[in-house]
Amino acid sequence: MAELQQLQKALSCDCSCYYCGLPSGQNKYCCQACHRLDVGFEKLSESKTTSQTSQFQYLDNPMNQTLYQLDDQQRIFKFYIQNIQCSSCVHLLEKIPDYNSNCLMSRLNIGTSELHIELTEFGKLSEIADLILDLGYQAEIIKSTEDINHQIKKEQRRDLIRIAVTAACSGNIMLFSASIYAGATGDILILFKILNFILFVPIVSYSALPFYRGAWTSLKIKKIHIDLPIAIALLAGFVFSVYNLVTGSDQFYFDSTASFLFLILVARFFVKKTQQKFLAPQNLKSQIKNQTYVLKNKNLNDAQTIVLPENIKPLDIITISQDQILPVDGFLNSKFALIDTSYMSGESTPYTFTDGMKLFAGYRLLSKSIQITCEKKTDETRISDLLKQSYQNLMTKCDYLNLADRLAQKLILTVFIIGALFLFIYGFIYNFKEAFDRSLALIVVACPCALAFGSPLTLAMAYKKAQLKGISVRNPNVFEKLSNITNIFFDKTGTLTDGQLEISHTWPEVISDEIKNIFIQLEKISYHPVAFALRKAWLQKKSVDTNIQSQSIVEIQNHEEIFGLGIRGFIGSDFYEIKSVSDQMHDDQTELAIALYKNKNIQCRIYFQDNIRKESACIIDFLNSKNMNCFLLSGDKKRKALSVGKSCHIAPENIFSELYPEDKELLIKKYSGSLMIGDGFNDSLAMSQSDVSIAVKGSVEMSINTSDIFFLRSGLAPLVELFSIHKTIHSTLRRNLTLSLIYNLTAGIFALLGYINPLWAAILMPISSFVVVISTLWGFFERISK
Amino acid sequence: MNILFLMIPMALVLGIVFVAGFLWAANNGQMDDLDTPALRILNDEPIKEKYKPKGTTQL
Repeated sequence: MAELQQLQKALSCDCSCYYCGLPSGQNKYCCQACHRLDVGFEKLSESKTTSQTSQFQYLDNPMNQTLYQLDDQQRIFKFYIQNIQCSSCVHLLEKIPDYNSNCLMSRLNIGTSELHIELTEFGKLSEIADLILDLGYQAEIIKSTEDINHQIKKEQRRDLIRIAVTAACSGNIMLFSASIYAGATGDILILFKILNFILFVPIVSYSALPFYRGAWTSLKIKKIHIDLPIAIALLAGFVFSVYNLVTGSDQFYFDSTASFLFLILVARFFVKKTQQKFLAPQNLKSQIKNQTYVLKNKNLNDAQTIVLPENIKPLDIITISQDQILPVDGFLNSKFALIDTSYMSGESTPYTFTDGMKLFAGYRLLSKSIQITCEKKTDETRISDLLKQSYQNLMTKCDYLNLADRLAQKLILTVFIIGALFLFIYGFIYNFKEAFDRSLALIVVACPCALAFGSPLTLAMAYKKAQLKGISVRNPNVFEKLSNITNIFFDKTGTLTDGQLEISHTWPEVISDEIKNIFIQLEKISYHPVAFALRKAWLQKKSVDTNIQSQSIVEIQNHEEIFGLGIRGFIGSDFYEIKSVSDQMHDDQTELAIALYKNKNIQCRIYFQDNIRKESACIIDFLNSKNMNCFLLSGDKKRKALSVGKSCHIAPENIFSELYPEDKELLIKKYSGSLMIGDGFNDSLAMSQSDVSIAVKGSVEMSINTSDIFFLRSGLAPLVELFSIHKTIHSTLRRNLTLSLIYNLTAGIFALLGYINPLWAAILMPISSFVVVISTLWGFFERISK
Repeated sequence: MNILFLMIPMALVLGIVFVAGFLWAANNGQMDDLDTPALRILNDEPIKEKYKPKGTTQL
């Protein structure tokens, strides 16, 4: 325990946002909005390029508009915004009408991350989409037919109304029952009884409907569900009380059943709400959607239309522009293309393809625009096959009964059997009426409330806690499954390492600013990861290298990027080349290396590495100390995988390299109790096959979609938090179960002995429920306060 | 005790009025988003001057 806390402390090196104070990982600001609001909006928006044509132009097509418009009269549209962080985001996004006069209203719902936009009749949807993008958000327009949250909202309103009705009725029932227990007599007693009955009618006929439905399904599929005893206790209590009302006897269960039902409804509402809020949104879509491609029309010369990926047909010729992801499998029409295949293979080094070669959907284009002839439709490609397979695996995973449900089943069954046995034995020996009273008291009192709402509440609290710690849980069963985990599989690039190229060392050790400037100028036209790494290292650290920026911009003639080879150009009369250094020239630690040649003479070499996260080794030590096996799965070369594995303290026999997505899946299938942590598309198949899957921050959406858990904080530190939350859940569940077993046992015995009359039931039931609630809250409060 | 025959209907009517009021509010969407309004009220222009940044030492 102590070592765990130490580890947590060591890992919590995160800063808080300079603007709003929320945790922000290693960054200065938690989000774009804070950055903008702090720096001042005008200053940043200067860089905005309005002249460019919008990538959202297709939104202005009137045919598409009707698809998105939510209201018949008003032009109301809904965007799903992906990276909402704090109140600054609300502030910034709701200021949209200030920036665009055609926008009448902008309202953000931070709970669902939805932005409602109302436009005037002249307003262009593409302008708004551009503006949101410019503000630094990933926006996705929601089609009116795909609006899931609308359904959720309707359901939530219905639940709230149900709770309100139950609360009003049960509150009033309590008032009258209190008078009855206090000793009301005569006409008033009869009046109060009748009032109780009238107030109970809405509860039994309206509030309890979901329980009847649950009980009916449980009977239909022949599996005992918690709704069954609740419905039976409720109905039996009602019938019995009405019978006693008619015959004039004094036994009533109106008050205890009403308050019990109220508590359960509230607990369920709370649980549902936290699940909706903290289980990550399901409408994160795949990255290919909502990109548009230019379609070359074969019949009309030079006519070009913009198409959505869904509308692409086989044999169509489409143009893919730089940095786009291929939506379909197809053959290359252009001379060559530099492709980032990391979605499929996980390898960071780009590949060059030439005319006629087959390209797969999911590849990302690094070079300038190319044309491809499509082979299949978007939903028949390899990526979508993998996608479908992953989702299917996910679906079969969800059919899982958790601990509480299994125990509740046993408990319910036991209570019913005891109740039935008692009814017959006691009924035959003494009298049936007394036997019925007592077994009904038993069923009402022994209704397993700890299990009915203690365990869901525990899980809800766990989601909330997890969210606070930067862990987004997508699959509700995940905490239960964590207990069986023994084998942990790590992906290499982007998971154990931070997935970004960084300069490790250079030759010679110090590079002059002049050379640096030449590098920057030459790489200016490049979208290769190396170019980004250089720009990051030399241009962004303003304090150190200001003199590079002050260097004059040199003119480069015949400036060209030869894909797969490098960059060349003339500066003055000197011929400069940047080339990659072959694999043999550098050691295991480095990912790749480049060299600068001036008139064919080597000037300097720069070595790049993909840094191993500083916490990786620490976390694997922690996991090893818990007797878990850590594995490394990599699509990279064996040498690199081994060296990374060594520095992360993973045993050499547990390192697997040169794997394709399908190989990873096969490998994971062999192990039970597997947990897969990854980030790339190439991990998603393996992730769907493992018992628990985690996507780290910065993962492609594909793996986020198939994962059970998604880390919102960068790095692997949340993994430790996850295990500690899992521990808290288990101890809380155990405590709740013990408490409720003790309660059920004592109350059950007293009921059978005939000591539990309706007054006692009315007192005991809420007390037991509150004890369970407090025990649950205490379990998590204790952890938070530490 | 005759006063009860006035008080009970009054209590019930009052209860019904409140439930009806709640139904109206819920159906009007007042319960749909409970988080954003709390943040919206903070967004008073100019936000920058009013705010004292936290954790400046970490820079």
